[in-house]
Amino acid sequence: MIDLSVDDAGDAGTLTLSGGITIQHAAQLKDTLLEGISAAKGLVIDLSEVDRVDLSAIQLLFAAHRGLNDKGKSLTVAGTIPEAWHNAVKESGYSGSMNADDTTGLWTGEGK
Amino acid sequence: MEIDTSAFTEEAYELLSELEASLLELEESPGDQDLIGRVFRAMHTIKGSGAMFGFDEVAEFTHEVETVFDMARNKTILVTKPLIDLTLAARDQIRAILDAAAGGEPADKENAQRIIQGLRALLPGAGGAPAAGAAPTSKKPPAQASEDEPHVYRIRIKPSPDIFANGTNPLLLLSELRDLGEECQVIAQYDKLPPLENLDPETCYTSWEVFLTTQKSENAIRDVFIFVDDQCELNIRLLDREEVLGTDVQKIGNILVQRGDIPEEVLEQALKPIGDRLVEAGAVSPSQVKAALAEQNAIKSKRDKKVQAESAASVRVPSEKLDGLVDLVGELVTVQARLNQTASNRQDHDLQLIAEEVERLTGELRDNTMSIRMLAIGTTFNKFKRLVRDLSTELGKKIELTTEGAETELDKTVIDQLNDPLVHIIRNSIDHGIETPDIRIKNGKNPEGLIHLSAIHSGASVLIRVEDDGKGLDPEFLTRKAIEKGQIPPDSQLTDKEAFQLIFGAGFSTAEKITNVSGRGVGMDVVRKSIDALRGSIDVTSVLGKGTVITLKLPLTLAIIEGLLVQVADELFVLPLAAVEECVELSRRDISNAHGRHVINVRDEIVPYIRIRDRFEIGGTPPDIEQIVISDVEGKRTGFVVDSVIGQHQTVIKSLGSNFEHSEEFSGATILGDGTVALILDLSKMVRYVEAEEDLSEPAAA
Repeated sequence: MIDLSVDDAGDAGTLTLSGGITIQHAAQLKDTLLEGISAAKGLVIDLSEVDRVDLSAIQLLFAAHRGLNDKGKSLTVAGTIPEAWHNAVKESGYSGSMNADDTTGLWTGEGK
Repeated sequence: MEIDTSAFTEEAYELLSELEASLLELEESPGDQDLIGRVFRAMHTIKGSGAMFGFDEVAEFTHEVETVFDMARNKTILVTKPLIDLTLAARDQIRAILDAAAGGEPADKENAQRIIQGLRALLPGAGGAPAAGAAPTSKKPPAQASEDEPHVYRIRIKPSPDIFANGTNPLLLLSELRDLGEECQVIAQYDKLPPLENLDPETCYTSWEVFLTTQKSENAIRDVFIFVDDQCELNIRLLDREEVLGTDVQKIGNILVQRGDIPEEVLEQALKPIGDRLVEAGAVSPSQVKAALAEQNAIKSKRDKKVQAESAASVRVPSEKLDGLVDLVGELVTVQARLNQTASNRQDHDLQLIAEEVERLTGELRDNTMSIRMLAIGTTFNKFKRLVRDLSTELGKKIELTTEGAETELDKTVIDQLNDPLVHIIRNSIDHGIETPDIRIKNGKNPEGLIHLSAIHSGASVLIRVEDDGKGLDPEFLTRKAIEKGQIPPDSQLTDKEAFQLIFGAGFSTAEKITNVSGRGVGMDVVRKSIDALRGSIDVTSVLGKGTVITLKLPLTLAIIEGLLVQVADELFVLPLAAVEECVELSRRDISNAHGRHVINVRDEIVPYIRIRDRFEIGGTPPDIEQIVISDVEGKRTGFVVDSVIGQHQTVIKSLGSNFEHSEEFSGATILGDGTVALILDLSKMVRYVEAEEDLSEPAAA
């Protein structure tokens, strides 16, 4: 499930993802991400209810994160990052891909 | 059971000095793989034998340093000044641990920690940011190769962009691959991933580089991809052991390429050998590069061969055994002198023949024994490279140390005792002699100062010269300072040579401010004391603004010196021949001409003299014509009056017992052929005593 809410001031958009985020939702995820990025100054992402992640989601979120960094906008994480996400990052070889730019802990590939 | 660890410590000390020398060389040519290899091997050997002999602290510490240098060897990290600095510090730390084991001060463990942390900070990925996919495989393949030994494969997987559309999940393929081996490292290549706006959510943009450690075959790996054969570009390569070690941590260039920071072509361009780049730039022709390479290789192989030959041909003997041998040879020389004398007294022709034969053999034996104890001074010189490097950095000066005559041989004892005085002299040159770069530029000099250290043989002596191109010594300034400190009378008129000798006075310092390095007024007087103890002499020449040359004249050996045997009444004395310049006669008339003062006119030069008969209260009546042995004592000509000069004498030096330790005017004794004992005079001490006494009795005298 993909849900985006932008607060009235337009300061932050909160993207809440739950269940499986896989190739079936990829097109929708891309559109929502683009919407959130253009509507708000920063994006808050909540993955805590996510239980399945595939490479398409990794690619999309990585591109989004990279784009936000380039634009000087922020990406923050709300709630805990689920093991499913960490495992997918690790398995896909994206661990450490964001280097020092990663303040969210999304790309470490290891759970706390 | 007590294990004899001395062999290890000795070897370790040698390795440490080799390590130091290699590091200093490496600093000058940081890219030299041979040197990096030498550093690595030295450390590796220390570690290995350290562990074997139970020096666990050494082994553990060295292991850390070795790990870092291993990466430098694999070109994962560059050889930088911080790395050299830290490795030198590590070398000192190993030395401190060894010293502690030998009963010295305990080594500073915190220092060891600091060094290790400093070294770790140099590693890629240190400092918080994990390097892209560079998580090191912690497991190294075992050293012994065997059939079942796991291989390391590098697998490049490039899925076709539409692989998602076929319902394939690449992550499952990767996890299948992971299940094949014990160790699997997956690095995503995401440089093809476009910005979000242009990204097709159903396209796979990612490719992978996988390092898999497995005992399975290449076919087993291919089997994983059997169902996606047409949707994947697969490239599998078995890495050999060298490369595996190299993948321990990724080479920086590869990391950059993977991160998409630079394209692969740029890396290849940057990694091209210098020769190729020069050719491309049109500076040299390919054949010139080829010739230069050939030359380089020839030199390298020659040097390697030389190093091998040197290590293969030597035997390690504790120096005490050699000292014992030299003592025995000394005794033999003494007995041989007696044999000679007895033979000539008896007028026995046969005995004389035997005595001559013994004399010849003894001479050869003596020379051989001495030559065993001879060491090249080069090792000492090498230590100074480090000293100059550290001190000049500390003082913000640029100084180059050049050396010459490193192969010059000196007695081991002399070399051992020469270290401290040379350190003081070089420290002085660095601190007081060489100016700071800005002052040097102002004075029209090369901003980089030069200290030249040389050693040459000169007869039975070795001359060691420390030459700097600094600001030189100002004789007037030195004289003024000495008068201020009350070390010489206020109206003293000194020659330049005498003024220069003032720097060796106790407590004499011209430094405006005391630095960490020198200026406390101790140091140069220590130099003189040490050189005196070695029966050597110091000569100073200096040109103001141009530089200073300090020359140490040292005997080749301490065990046997060339002496001049003289007689006063029934007493015999030996004067070191190295100091003797000439012998002149002293008649009653000369004495009366001098009106009671102890001076003589030698070719219009006034030479003061000391009467040995009076000095040692020998008594008896001197002959009508006495002999003056004029010697060079600390740059001043001084005469020693004796009854007669007997002649040159090979003097085997015996130290005096503790009863005589306050008789500083004698540096030892020797036994003559007939069994009588002659005392060896320490000329400079005698002169100093006489001067001190005269100053007391007539303080105003110049």
